[in-house]
Amino acid sequence: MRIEDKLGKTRFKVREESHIRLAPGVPERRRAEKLCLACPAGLYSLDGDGRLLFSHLGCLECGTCRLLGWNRELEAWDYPVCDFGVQYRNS
Amino acid sequence: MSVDKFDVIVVGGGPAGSAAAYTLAKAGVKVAVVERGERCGCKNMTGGRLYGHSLKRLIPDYEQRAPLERRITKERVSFVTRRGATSLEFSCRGLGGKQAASYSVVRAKFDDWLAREAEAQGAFYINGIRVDDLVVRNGKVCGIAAGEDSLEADVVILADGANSLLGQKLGLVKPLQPKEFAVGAKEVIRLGRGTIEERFSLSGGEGCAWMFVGEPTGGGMGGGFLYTNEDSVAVGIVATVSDVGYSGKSVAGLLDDFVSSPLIAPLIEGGELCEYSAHLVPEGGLKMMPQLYGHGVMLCGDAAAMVMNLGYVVRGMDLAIESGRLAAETYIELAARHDFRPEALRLYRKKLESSFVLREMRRHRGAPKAFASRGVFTRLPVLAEDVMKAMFTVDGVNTSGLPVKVLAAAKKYGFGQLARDMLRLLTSV
Repeated sequence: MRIEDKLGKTRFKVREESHIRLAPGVPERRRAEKLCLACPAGLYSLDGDGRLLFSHLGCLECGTCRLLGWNRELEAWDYPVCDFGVQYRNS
Repeated sequence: MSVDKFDVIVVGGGPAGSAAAYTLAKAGVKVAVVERGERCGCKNMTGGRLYGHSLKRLIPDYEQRAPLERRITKERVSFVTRRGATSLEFSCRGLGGKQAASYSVVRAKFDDWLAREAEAQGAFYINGIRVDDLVVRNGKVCGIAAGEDSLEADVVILADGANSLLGQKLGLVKPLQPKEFAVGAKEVIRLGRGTIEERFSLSGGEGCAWMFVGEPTGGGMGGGFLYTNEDSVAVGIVATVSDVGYSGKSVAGLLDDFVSSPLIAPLIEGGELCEYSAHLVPEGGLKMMPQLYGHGVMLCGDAAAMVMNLGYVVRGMDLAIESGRLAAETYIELAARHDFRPEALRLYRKKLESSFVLREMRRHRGAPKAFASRGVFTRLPVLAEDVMKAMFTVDGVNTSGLPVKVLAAAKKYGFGQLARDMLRLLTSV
């Protein structure tokens, strides 16, 4: 089952604005690859130029990327404001 | 209740926060809990099991009141290779006895219940608010800030979880280290009560807890888990963050391979995935534990890294509940003198020292290091398999005795390394 389909089973209260912001520029390859592998929602990917791509839609707010990339690949990380974001019912 | 001034503000409505709020409210203290989730528990996930002893101290009849999934009466541990698994199963109807029963739980239900119990004691819950900062005046934590609003209190209890942004802002929690944390990801698969009891050979209301070492994390540090809920099973993996990528697979990919492996797939066949979730787990033990208190502030639960992973036993919620209760008791004792300086709040640490929380974390302080040995995740499952294969293979060719075959398997692991790994494991867990 694809991760997108799995995330489709989890409920979210979606907000347009992202609570995570990538730093500009091309990240160090190995570090960027680790971010891609570590995000349990698979929200990070690398484009052809080695730039990180990220979408906050489907973010499970676990904080793994913050642990790996804060102050380097990520320039802002916070929990979504108010009660936006993931809404677990069965976990 | 007037909302302009509270005695205590608790940040986070998980087990630690609500245990603190329950204890405070019961003693007549004006306490507010600020929780970012619309309901308590909707931002939380667990591997699946609550050891009930500390909750029983808080709410003696919790077993009649709480939304518990299944009482765990069957424990399994499996060492998994690409070819198969060596498993140990222990089942016992009275496992844990009356005082020490453990239950699978679903946090969205459980945390919400505990919050309501605290509310019934008089605690005031403010949901759907993310706390952005702490109000600090002359070095003393005086309250919380969320957007334009602020709320003041004598003491703030931080129970804001594994990734405690507030604890880090205060400098009590050091910058988080990838080697001290694991990322857990899990799937909850609805199967129906009868199917679960059939497939896991369980009687009504009884449950199974199952740990996996080896292949589920592709030999990376961490493991797999499975817990039976009332009508669903929770299957997941936990991977040490610094070790992600060891096998070349992503966390999501490892979990996907695990749920579709021959070990798990037949057990969840025909089930319906109802949720996918992930969370951080602080796994560094005593060594990573932050400063537990400051001027006007105490840290509880995951925010204070109160988690014990011994491989066969993983605990967090029971420590969280006890720490919340003890933080509350500390406040209650100090309230008369109205002294919340660090010198006074040291009492919280003292209480933890004489409770099971710090006693057991101290006893098992070597566990994180023992589980940082690669061999446990790569060679140990193979060793178990080799020994079992030697025991159960009859081919009329290899006629040497079992001890010789076992020695050959141990040699493959490396005698020295095996001795070191085993010694470390045995002395720490």
